[in-house]
Amino acid sequence: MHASVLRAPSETAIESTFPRRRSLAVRRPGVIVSVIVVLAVVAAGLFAPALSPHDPVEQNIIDRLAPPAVFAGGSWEYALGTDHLGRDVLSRLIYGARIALVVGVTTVIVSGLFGLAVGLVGGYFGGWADTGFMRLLDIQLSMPFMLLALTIIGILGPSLRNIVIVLAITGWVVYARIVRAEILSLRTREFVTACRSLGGGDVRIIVRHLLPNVMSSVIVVATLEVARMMLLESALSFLGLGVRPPTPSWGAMLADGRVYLATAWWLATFPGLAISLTVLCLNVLGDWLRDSLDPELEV
Amino acid sequence: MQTWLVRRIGYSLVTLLAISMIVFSLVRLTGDPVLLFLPQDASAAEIERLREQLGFNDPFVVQYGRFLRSALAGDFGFSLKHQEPAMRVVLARLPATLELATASMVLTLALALPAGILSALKRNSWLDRLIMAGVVFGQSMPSYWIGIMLILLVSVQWQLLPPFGRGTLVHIVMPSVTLALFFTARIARLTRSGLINVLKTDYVRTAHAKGLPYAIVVLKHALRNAALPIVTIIGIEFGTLLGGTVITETVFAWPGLGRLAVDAISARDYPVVQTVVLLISGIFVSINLVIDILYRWIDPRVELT
Repeated sequence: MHASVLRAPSETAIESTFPRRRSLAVRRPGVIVSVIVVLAVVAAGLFAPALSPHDPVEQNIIDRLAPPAVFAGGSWEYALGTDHLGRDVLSRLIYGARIALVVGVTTVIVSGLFGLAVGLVGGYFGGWADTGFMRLLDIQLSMPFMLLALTIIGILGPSLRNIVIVLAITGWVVYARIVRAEILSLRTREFVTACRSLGGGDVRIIVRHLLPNVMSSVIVVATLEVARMMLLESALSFLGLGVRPPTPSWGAMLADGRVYLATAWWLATFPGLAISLTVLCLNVLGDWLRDSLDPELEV
Repeated sequence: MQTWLVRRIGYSLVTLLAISMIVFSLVRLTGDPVLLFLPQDASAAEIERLREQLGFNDPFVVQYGRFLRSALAGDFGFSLKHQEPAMRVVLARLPATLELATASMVLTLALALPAGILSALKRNSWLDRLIMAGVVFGQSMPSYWIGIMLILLVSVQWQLLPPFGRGTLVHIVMPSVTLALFFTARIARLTRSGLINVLKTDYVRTAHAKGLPYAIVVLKHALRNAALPIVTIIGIEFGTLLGGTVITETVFAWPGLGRLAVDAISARDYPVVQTVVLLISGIFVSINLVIDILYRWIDPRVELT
């Protein structure tokens, strides 16, 4: 104890003040794995026709309920087995990535842009529009979302478009709240006053000075929201309120597989693994982005 | 305090009113409700007559006013499917959902609080990393998949617990575990960040500096102050839990509100749908109100908003 206190400020002190930064792969191996998995899912979605060994909706009654290749009775013809209609599970999983990605990305873009606009404009100008949107936000947060989503889709009818609409309605709140809170503290800062005193208009201040400052939070939230939206889409599809069959969706595949739980475990297991793994990796990426871009952000 | 209380209660009432308006207009979007009352081959004149009789030709505001008046008198419409007043159908299912939500909440707290506190105290240790990894896992797995995997392993493979239904204490184990996993992740994470914030404060540093034992600092100084926001979150999460049981109830055929709502939506039994949404929103808004009042009462520094 004493020895270390009395030691001259040699390179040990310097080293502890400026620790050598180890590479990302060593510090957070999970992040690298997550990037790879997410890229793989994106590739599966983009190149589904080239990657999948079979047509995802082609039925083959003779080969129905074939187990995965490594189990007794399975063959490499159907690596992950077939479902109750003899459709190839692997091909359906690959095509299912498309639905998950399309829903995740479009809802995040739609709700993100809307929430960003509400947060920016409301936080900067205030006024009745801001108050109105904040009341709407409070009201929306006190309603049971899942029930509301079910009701709206029950009324509009299940389709890809309606899912995106319902999920976008739920999503904007998150962005609006975080962006608005940040704008409220940013708008009185010196650089904003400086810009204004140099003759910068409101539009210039918002677009050139405020927007870049909130983008890091928006990126973090958007990453985590893609994951949440994918989970919600699969939940709606699971309840039969998602995209219509035979379009392969992970949630719907799981719901179909439930009936065959006792005899064909692979039908419910693989789509669930696909959802969990994708969402898990997106969450790991989102957490990492938050830690490195915006550690104070509470999401 | 008194003006604040009046304003706060008024605010809750306005929120509930707005929710009822949204739900009412949503349900009115469904097309012609009259067709549900009549046989398929009803003539146009018959449809028109019933529509006039039931008041569906009146302007929207008049219809909403009528709905509100009867709702205040306790009449939430009649369920065609169950041939009973909608509120009675819904209330009959409420105990099952409350039971499930309470069991999951108890389980959640038993897991989440120790996990969150431990990982905040041992920040950046291997234990913290392990717990946080568990949290990310818990938040990433869809609850219905966890439920199905539990059925597959525990009921089908090992035949330990009944796969679905309600009745004995054994039935509630798997649904409440399924629900609890997701909420444990959320509450553990929030407990951790709340406690970390308190541990950074000056009074905790002072307590350490004046030589108090570690346990006293943690128990008397840090945890007490971290407890308030955590209690708020728990209240809110309980509300979310009530509305979020839809999927778990579907997976385990648990006869609660969530399943009732799903069945009612597919049967186009809209009075029931409307009542479920209103009831859960009402409970949710009331919980928030009670928490806000308690919070104000326990900690008078809280701003008047």
